[in-house]
Amino acid sequence: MKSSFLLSGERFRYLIKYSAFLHAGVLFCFALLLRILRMIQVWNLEDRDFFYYASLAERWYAGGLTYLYHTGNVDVPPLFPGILTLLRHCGVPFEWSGAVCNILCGALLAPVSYMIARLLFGRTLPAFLTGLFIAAQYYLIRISAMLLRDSSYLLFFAAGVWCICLYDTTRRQYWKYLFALASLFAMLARLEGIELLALGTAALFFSDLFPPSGKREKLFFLHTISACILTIGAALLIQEYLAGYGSLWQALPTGRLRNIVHFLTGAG
Amino acid sequence: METYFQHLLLFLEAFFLVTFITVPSMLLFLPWGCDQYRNRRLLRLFLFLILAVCLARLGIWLGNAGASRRYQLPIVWLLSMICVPGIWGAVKLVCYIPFRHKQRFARVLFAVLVLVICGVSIAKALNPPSRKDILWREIQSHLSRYDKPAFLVLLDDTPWRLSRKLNVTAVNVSWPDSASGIRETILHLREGLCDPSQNVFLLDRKKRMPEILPELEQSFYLDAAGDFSPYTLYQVRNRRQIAGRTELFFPEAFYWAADSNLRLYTPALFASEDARVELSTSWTIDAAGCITFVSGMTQSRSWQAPLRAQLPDGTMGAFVYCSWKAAVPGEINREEFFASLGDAFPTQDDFQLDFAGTSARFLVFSPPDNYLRLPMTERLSFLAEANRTARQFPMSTRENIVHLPLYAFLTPGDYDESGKVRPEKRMAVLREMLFGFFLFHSD
Repeated sequence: MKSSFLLSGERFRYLIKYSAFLHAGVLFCFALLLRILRMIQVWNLEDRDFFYYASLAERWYAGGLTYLYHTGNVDVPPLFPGILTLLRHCGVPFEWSGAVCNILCGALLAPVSYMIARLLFGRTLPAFLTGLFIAAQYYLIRISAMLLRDSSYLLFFAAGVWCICLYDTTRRQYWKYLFALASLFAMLARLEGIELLALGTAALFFSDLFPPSGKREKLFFLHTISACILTIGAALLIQEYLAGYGSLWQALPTGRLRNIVHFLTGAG
Repeated sequence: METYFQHLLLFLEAFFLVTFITVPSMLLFLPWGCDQYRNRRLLRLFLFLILAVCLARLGIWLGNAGASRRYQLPIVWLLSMICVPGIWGAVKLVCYIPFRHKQRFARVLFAVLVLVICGVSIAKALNPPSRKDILWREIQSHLSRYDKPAFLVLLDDTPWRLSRKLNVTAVNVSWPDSASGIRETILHLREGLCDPSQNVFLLDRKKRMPEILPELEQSFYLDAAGDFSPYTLYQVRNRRQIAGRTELFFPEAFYWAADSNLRLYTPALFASEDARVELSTSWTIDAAGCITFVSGMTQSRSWQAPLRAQLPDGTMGAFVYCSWKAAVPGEINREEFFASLGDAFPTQDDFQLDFAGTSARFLVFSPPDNYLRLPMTERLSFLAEANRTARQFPMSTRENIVHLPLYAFLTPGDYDESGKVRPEKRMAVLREMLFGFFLFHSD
């Protein structure tokens, strides 16, 4: 029975029905191939920051997560060093685990982008071309072939955006939770992931407040633009302060509250 | 404004280079390609995210005065997402020219354009130029003459991605203007992942090296190992190696700049990711001995307060502890540390300072008020004690701690009428400082 299905025309129709996954799979394989080729090229080269991540993973491996974060002033979220440590427990060297993680994350970015583009365009060809462009983008290939945590961060960033788009389209609540999960992983990958959480929450809020219906949608559009301008204005206004911290995430933790107050009040 | 203009140029340069010029140029045609977006509402939502993320990042980027990878990532991805309709818009514009089979021509042109852009991108990502390929083989041949495995430090704008041809492990160093960044990296390699007995080489463009060579030579012997125009290969040997073990403490991580003010730059920070912020970071010691934090970060005034600790006799002294991305402060047992140093070092609330989000830490506290009146031998003894204490801290080999008694070497008589440190004193101070550290580290 099973073999007859595989050989029959039903299988073809089945594939057509789920063409989105088929296209996504093709894009994933294509992106994976490019990134593997790129990684082979630069295999002998290790990025400077990877030494730092490897050292964190070494300490984690030796003394556990508590040891790593309680005995040192570590400003790197634990996802990437954690993956290195986890695979080290399985006997995989740091370089290999970092490479595999980054290649996979970089390759997965193409199908995720394709899924977002399908929602935006409402048709397959431009969405597929967008996925193709993401798969073949030089900068993104380069990032995926570096042993850094940026590749995983970007994947979860894109996944978060995808969840927002899906929620706005389907109005199913679980996309919100998945968005939160994606944001969490983005934050665990890079500190800047909190920016996705902030902006995405705002987008979901407006999406709830102004569901798609005629005039209210225009109002929603105006509100999003206003929020956008406010965000930009706030970023520009506090850039002098942000310059000292690099990102909103680093400005928010309570340990620096005193500095924030000092900055705002001008107190010495 | 000039600075901001330079930052804007940096941003534009990175922006255009990173995205191959295609994405921004395709954006020009986006309005004509917007019919591709059927879900207009979702498009608005998406554009909201694009604008918010990109422009907020732009603001932070300008504030940070540097093009860092972290700011480019979401921007490149989001812009790439809307590139395809831009291409479609360009095709439509072209197809406004009336001719037969216009629709078919438009579709073919559209597909060809996208494929060409993808092809060029892949080609750039995967195909190295052959000339540099040959260069690498020459370098590899040269390195194979050495009996031990080599470790290659590549400075920026070297063809690092071609290192696949080399049978060596290579590490890329950013910010070649900073000798300290290179120094830190070499130290980390020596002490961390790399066997200290391995050969370490430095590859750089000739035009860059002379600028930073004098500073780097304070820490290393740099022997020209090969000439591969336009690159020069240097063999790096540490100036201080004791029985094959690389010395951890390098006072040269702080150096005196030869400007009119006595400024103590903190180049250890240059190795951080936000290096461009710290490029202007400096400390000035004024006539009263106060240390002033001078940089674009000065507006964050909380920095100045703990640094201006003044002694009862009107003088000022400070010890600065600095590390790069190191876990130093968290590992220091504060009570034990101060107990070992005695009452001479009053505990301060601002024991630990966060600096510019780079994890660099400065510990500032006052030396004993009679320090300057001590004979030189006692001064050295005092410094040796501090040094020994500091070396008791549990730290990994990667954490390069530099402790430097700033004011310890200056007396009020060392300043001229204008409040500047006398030029002849600067070098004397430097010599004394280096001598002190070399002396203490020779045990």
